[in-house]
Amino acid sequence: MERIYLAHLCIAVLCIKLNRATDTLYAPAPDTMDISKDLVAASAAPLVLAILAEGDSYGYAIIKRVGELSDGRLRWTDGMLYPVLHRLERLGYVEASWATAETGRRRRYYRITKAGRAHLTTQREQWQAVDATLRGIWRELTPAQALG
Amino acid sequence: MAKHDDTLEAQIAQWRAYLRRRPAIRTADVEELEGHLRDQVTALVDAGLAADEAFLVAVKRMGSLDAVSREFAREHSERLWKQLVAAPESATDAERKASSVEVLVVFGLAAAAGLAVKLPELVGYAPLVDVDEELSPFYIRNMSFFVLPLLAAYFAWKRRLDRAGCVRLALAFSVAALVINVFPFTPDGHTTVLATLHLPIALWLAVGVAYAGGRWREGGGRMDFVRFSGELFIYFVLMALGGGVLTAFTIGAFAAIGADVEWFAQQWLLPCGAMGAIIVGAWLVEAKQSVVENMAPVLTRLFTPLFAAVLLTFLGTMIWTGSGINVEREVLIGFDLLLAVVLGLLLYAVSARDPHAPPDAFDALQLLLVASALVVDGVALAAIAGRISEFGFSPNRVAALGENLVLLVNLAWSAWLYARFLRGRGTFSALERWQTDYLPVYAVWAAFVVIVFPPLFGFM
Repeated sequence: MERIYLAHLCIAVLCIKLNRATDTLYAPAPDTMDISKDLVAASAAPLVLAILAEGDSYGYAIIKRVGELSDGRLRWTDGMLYPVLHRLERLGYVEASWATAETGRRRRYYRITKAGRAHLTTQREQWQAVDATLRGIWRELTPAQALG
Repeated sequence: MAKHDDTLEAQIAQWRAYLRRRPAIRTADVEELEGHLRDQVTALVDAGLAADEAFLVAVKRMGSLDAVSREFAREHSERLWKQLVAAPESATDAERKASSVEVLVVFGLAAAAGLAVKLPELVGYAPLVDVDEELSPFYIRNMSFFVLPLLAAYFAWKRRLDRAGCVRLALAFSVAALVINVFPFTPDGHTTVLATLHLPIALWLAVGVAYAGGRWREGGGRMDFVRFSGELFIYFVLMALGGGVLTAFTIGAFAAIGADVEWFAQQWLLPCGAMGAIIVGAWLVEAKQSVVENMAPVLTRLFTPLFAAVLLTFLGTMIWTGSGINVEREVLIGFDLLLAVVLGLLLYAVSARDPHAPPDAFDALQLLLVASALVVDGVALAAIAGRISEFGFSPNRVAALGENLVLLVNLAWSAWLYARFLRGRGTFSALERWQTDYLPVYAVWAAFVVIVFPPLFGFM
């Protein structure tokens, strides 16, 4: 919970790096916490890349994994994941290939590339830097100060 | 349960159809999104939801199709510019395989056409150009036979024409080839020139029969052939422009290093390229008819008002100054061409119009164009009739007069049908049917000029 708020504050910095394609990923389900649209957009690419770093996956499974990782607090509009995946593919961070799934239908599997891993590493460093900065001020800020 | 599955499948099919209509979302993307939807539905059903509930939830989670397709468009902006890629991204491997076989067939036929045009020269039967650097008489007479039979063969193959149809086509081409080569034509004779000009028109109908496959007897099949002809013409002109640029660069580049390759451009690039371009153009029109906006109707819309304005001004000027038409040698042919252009404008306007739409201003403009063309032609005919009664019949005059009659009858009846339609007494379909029913008349007249004129006028 705290991390989410942390990141919320640093969104102005990250906005610059955002790709607009992820803007509308954000569509909160009524029962979930209202995570800002920009925040969802900013985290989409690193989150997808990190999930693919765990192993090859496909759209539906990625969405499911995001749900698990965030305890259901981070909800994406499912259809919006695919333009993000296609953008990552265009940038060369992931590769896609069609394969027949256990259901017998064709499914498009995504695999992270070397460039994708490198990008994930830099992203990770940046997020950690922002996170550490915010943690610092969080610690020094007394609740009374924070509330004004 | 089976019933539920059917309902679910129907719902998914409907959703898929909505998705397919978005230009930014390709077939492969639709498949990917559908897979997602199905996974989601399965998971929800496993969790205890009914199939229809699961479908609704899954669709909701997928997000609004407008928003999704907007994101796809942002990521793939090039898709909104409809792409002319060789093989479309088709869903199944079978389709992909079929389209690659077709590419092979098309380029094989194009190469065959390029070779065919050189063959008589290579075996020493007839030179491509004679001493005056003009096409030799043999080539002028036979130009249609280097490419049109191959084009017909392509469509016969593509439409899986039955044996009887293939035999009829082969027969038509053989008879035509026989007539044009066996008749004792005198070089540069009037009937020779006329036969040469009319042969492609007659043979084009044979291509049309092959194009329409089994649908030649239906108005729809013929109208598709009209559309095809217009688009092929536009593709051919575009390819000719590209070919011109290629030729200029070839000659220029080699001239820069002191090599003269003009002979190559003239003897190989131009004839082989032109023949091949017709086959390739036909294939492009076939493959891209759903991808590219049809151009012929667009040009029609642009030029109908302009032609109507010119004709009306011409009529007005003629009445104002009181001067009659100066009957020169070329005037009759000029008016034939005018009628042909007006008919083309009418035909392509008809081909692109929704027959069920009510009359609008453009229809009135179209009628105005046809009516003014009829009046102009009537004036010209009266002038020419005098000339014929004075100087008698010549093959050229009879041919031009016959053409004029053929076009005049069509336009006059079209004007009548159009007027009825505008007054709400007739349907637009009647006009469309009249146009498609009339198509064979042009070919019959052209065949008549090729086959009957030369003996009739003693091969003069």
